[in-house]
Amino acid sequence: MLKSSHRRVVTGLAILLLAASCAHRVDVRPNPRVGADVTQTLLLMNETAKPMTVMPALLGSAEPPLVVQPNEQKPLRFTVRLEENVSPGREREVYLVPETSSPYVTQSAIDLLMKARFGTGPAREIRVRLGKCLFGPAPAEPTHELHLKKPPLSGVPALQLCP
Amino acid sequence: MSYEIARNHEIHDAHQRVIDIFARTYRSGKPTIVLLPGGMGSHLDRSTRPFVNDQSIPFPMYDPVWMDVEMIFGRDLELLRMEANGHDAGEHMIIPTGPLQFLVNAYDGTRRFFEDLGWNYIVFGYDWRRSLEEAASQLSEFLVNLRDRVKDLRDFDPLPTTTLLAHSQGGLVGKIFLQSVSGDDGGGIGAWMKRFVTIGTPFYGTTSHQDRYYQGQSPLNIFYGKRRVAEIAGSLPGPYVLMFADQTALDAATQAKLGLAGYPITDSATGAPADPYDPANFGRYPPWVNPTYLEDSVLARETIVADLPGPVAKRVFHIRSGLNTKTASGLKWAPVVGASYDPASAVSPITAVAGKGDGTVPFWSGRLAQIPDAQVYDLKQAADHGGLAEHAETLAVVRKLVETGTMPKPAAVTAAIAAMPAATLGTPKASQPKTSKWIADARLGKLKKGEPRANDPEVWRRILEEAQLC
Repeated sequence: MLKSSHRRVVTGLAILLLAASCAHRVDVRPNPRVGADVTQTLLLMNETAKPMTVMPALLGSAEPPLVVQPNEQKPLRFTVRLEENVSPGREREVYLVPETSSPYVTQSAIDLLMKARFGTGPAREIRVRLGKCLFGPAPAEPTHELHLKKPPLSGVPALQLCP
Repeated sequence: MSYEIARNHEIHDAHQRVIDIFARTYRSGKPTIVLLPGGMGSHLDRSTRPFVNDQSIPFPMYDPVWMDVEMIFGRDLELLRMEANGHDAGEHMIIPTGPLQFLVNAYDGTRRFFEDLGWNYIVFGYDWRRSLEEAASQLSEFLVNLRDRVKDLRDFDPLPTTTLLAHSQGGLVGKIFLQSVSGDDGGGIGAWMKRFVTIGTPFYGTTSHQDRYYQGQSPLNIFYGKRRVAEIAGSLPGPYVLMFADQTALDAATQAKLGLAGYPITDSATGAPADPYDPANFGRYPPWVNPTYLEDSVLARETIVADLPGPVAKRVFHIRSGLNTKTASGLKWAPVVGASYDPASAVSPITAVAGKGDGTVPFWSGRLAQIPDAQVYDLKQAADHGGLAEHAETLAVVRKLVETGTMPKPAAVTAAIAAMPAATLGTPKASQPKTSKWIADARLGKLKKGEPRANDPEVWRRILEEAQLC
């Protein structure tokens, strides 16, 4: 029979062993930036018959909704950054820099994401697909027109910045 | 840095680790299978520290949260709950890391089958608690990075010979992905994939999810109580789309194409259609059901059922089963007052109507109305939803499809199964104890001699089956 103090030690070791086998360590891989950040403008052009109300990206934001009337356009600035992973693949990732971007855009995977209502309809997402071409040797176009002729399908980019 | 951006970083890195391993063993000239698991079929890890700011990432350590033994002996289900702002509980970030792999290695049979053929095989893990649109966008990024990494190491683009193979909810992610890369004419689809094959995907929903908002889910109810399981289900935006589709998506023309006699959910008092996404019916839901998530799901469904351009539709194939005639293929919904609904004392207002299916997904829901019959295979042997993607018959259909480019005839599939080595077919499962009773006994330390222990994979397989994974 093990004494209770021994039992505690054995139990503790078993728990530690279990924890070590369940958890896995992640390499610390700080990603260095590649080149300078790129700031671009998205020109939202409401070509539907209804006013478009763009909501701030973060819930609880103090920003008021942005209303774009039919046949009106509103510019939204955004800044993206290219980073290189310190992993064997050294793959590059495009990231939105929220601090220097419009409060109406956020990022979801490889897309810029906005949420807007058309008239009194439900809040729909508007996706703009990003890409590494924004960091190519030739300077990227500073402004991208986003023509919204109808409410976009959810999950389907309304514009591809790198076709 | 916001929580959302930091989460993107972490998920990207997790995917990249999987891609890197895949690319190093890639076999040029062999077909590639990218598996999209079903709902709850992806492994989820949770950061041991909460996110505070951009100095928080990369997190030094993650723990498995879906799933491990803490799901039944601890409180892990609570950790899967999501906050109203879309963050994970307690700001501890949750990321998908591949197929479910705790004792039960989900899709292990699928992996073995394709690896034995010498084909390339990789799993795209996604957070099944979150929106399908997010997962579809991640899939685009995943495929681009996979292509780039294989090109780096093998000087070969794998995507034109890639089959996207999706089980259950994974097919919904795949359909939204297809819609997102098809453009107006679908002309460039060949650069993304060779074909898209779904197995038991509930394009127009299932019956199993709606009742979770009222009665939780067996066997998780045993540990957490019906009410808590129902509340947690209500906090997860993604699975809302698993309920039967709204009346716009399932209009009369679509019903006719799918062989439905009418809208599949009716009011049990009047017999009239009872659309679960219609705001007029929101009063029937308990308070933890989120109207915004219901609204978002209608929009996701709009994309799921949207017609694909012709060149893309030609590459879509469905495999489904109608062999289980006790599958709930319709529902009756009683007009309860949701605000005062108490899961502990009230009976469910949901009653199933039996029909053909695979035990979870109704037969009629397992295909897109747009896809021609010649691209749909109705299984003759495989009848269980959870095991469809690992069944010898399904795997034989997929193999033939990849090798010949067309959906095989049943005779060819039967011959292919006969030619399979016995190891591929698996062995019949031994009789198992009633899972719920086993779990209760295990928690109380009352397992009898000879009963399976907590490290018995078959018990966990049973638990997942009982939970009716989608």
